[in-house]
Amino acid sequence: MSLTKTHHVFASAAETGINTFLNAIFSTRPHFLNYGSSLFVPVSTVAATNMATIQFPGVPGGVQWAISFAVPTVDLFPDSSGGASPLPPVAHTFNIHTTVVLRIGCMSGTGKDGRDGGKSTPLTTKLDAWALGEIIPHYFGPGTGFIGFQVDKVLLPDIKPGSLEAVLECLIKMLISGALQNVQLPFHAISLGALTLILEEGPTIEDNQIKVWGSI
Amino acid sequence: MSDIVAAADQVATTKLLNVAEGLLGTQTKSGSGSLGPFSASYSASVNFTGGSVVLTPPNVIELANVHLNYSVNLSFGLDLNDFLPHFCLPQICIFGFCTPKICISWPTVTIPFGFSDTVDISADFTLNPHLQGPDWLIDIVIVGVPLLQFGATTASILAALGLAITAAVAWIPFIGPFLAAAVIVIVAAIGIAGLTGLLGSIITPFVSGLTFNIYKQKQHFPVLPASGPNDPEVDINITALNATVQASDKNELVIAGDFTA
Repeated sequence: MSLTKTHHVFASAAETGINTFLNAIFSTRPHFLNYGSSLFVPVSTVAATNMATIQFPGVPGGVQWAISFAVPTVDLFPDSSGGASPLPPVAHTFNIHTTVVLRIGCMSGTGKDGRDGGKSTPLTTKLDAWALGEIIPHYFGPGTGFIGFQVDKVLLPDIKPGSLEAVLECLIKMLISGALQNVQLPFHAISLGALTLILEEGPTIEDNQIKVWGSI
Repeated sequence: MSDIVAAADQVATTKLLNVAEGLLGTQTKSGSGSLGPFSASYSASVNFTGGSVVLTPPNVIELANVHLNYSVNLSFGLDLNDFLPHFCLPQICIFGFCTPKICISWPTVTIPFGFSDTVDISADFTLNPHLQGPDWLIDIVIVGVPLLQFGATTASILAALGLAITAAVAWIPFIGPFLAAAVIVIVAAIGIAGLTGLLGSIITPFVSGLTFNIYKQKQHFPVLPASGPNDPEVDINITALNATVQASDKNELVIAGDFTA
């Protein structure tokens, strides 16, 4: 069977290519992966995005916090982990594996007696995170548009109790989804600029590739 | 598995060819050559349009009936003494005193002539992916030199040449009675063979080594443009690029590439 099938052009990005794309995007714009309030990220730079503290009565200045994601590794369906993944991709999905670093600025007492007056000490934890998602096309016309990544489920293995796991998984799912909204894979990149694609079918995930078909 | 694979069938490859023809644009050259018995100087321009594609594994693209559109402006010197009779004006004698004998010497004139036409060519081309400076290119390069068949329009070009000669010499005094016959002789001296011989020598260099470029991208390939001080351009580095023709239920041009972050 031809690559183009009943269409005139075909383009695909293999799993290795997708991971290289993500590596390029996140190494050039690491602020997509790193967020924090002023204690951890005083000002937005290319490295990190400054966020507001979490306001709470009695916490001067609010709760200082930060979250960072390691550059995620994508596995396109079918599963390439040999069964090691706790959340393997199913048909037309991908999974993401990353490490999430959560930090808070742990505020000590009010310093009523003059000791540790309002001192904020960073506390860090690392979580192993798996996510399952699908690709969303945004096609605007011949040769224009991009592929976005949508997360549908997150798994944080070995978190206890189960209710804490559910809360954290929802939190991480929202944050990963928000971060991935910045990741746009242009259609022209999938053919390395060889084709000005008029999209007719796809994108689909199969055979460890993202595939598109169309004409020019 | 390559990081990126792109494929185009014959319909899409034909469109890529049409774009490549436009990118090649109009080529020009000038020089001199033989127009029958005459030495002519010329300037010529050529562009390519149309044609159809047949893909043949492993790396041949046959282009059929590509229109080679050409325009030629030439000029050649014509010594009319070689084609017109010599005669002298009759003397007038009165009482033994005669007017001097005046014989007509025909001038050498420069004949300018311009014409345009199209000749169709068909040839095999091979794929040539390569890195040139900062760019990855995929060219298709002609194999050999195709036969140029200038066809039936050559006769009409020759007829137009006759008209151009007539227009160029009609002003010469006393030429009237001899003009038509002289043009016939001059055109016959050139002949179809002379014209096609000159056209062949003019057009062949445009076809020899003919190369169309169907892909050109920076090795340092831009994925995302810069969009602010904290969002610099995102690039990848294309480390390898290959182009082949692969066979299946329909033959396809397949471009495969690898890259690093």
